[in-house]
Amino acid sequence: MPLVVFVDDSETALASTKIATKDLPIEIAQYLSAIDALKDIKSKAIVPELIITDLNMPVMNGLEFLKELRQIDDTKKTPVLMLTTETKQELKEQGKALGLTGWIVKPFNPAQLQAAIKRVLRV
Amino acid sequence: MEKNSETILLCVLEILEHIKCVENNVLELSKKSMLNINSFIAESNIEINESIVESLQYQDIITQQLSATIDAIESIDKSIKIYLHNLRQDSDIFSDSLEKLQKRLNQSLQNAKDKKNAFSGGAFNEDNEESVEFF
Repeated sequence: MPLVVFVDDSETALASTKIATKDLPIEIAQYLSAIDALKDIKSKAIVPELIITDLNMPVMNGLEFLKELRQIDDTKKTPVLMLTTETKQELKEQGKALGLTGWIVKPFNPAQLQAAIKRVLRV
Repeated sequence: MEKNSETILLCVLEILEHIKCVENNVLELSKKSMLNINSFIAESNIEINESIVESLQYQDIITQQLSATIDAIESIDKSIKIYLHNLRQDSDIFSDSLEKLQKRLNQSLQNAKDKKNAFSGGAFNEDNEESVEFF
């Protein structure tokens, strides 16, 4: 099953995404910080087929995380979705320029989140 | 005049500290409560509908909103303390410092308002149909 990585500094947000995606044929790895996710990606402990990340996080935000991912061979082209409360066009443009796949506004509708994952992974 | 303003500002600082303390307690309780509910749902394997999943996410938005107001309180607290420090050093610069304080407070308010908008997402938008966008 494809591995989907969720990154969010909120434990409750991660719990909600887990509940919302439990019926999908995917494996899930969750991280409370982008730094920790990057560590596992760089060491090849995980090879995600899709990464879904929050934007506003301490230490490293979602856009900085995306920038880092694009520097790593394994994740240069990995689809990345931003799952955030932010709706500013300016931030979306920054994400687009970094090769972001899509933008999902919180609170997400579970059916829409599932559909987005299915569309990207073709499952 | 300066002494009065100092007394009032010290009182304001105490009020702000109290509000911050209450908000931190609310944040903690809200998080505990939501994690317990999430665990219960995950372990009991019960069917939940879309509106419940959306509601579960409101805790995250509540957290971000309260954190933003705590940031604003800390920023105001810092500005008032700088003002009081300056006032104690040299009471002649009273009006100059007051003007600077006003600017800092306005900036704190603007930052807080920006964060309120940034952290609301679609929570207050009844028509949140376009919540997914592909590039």
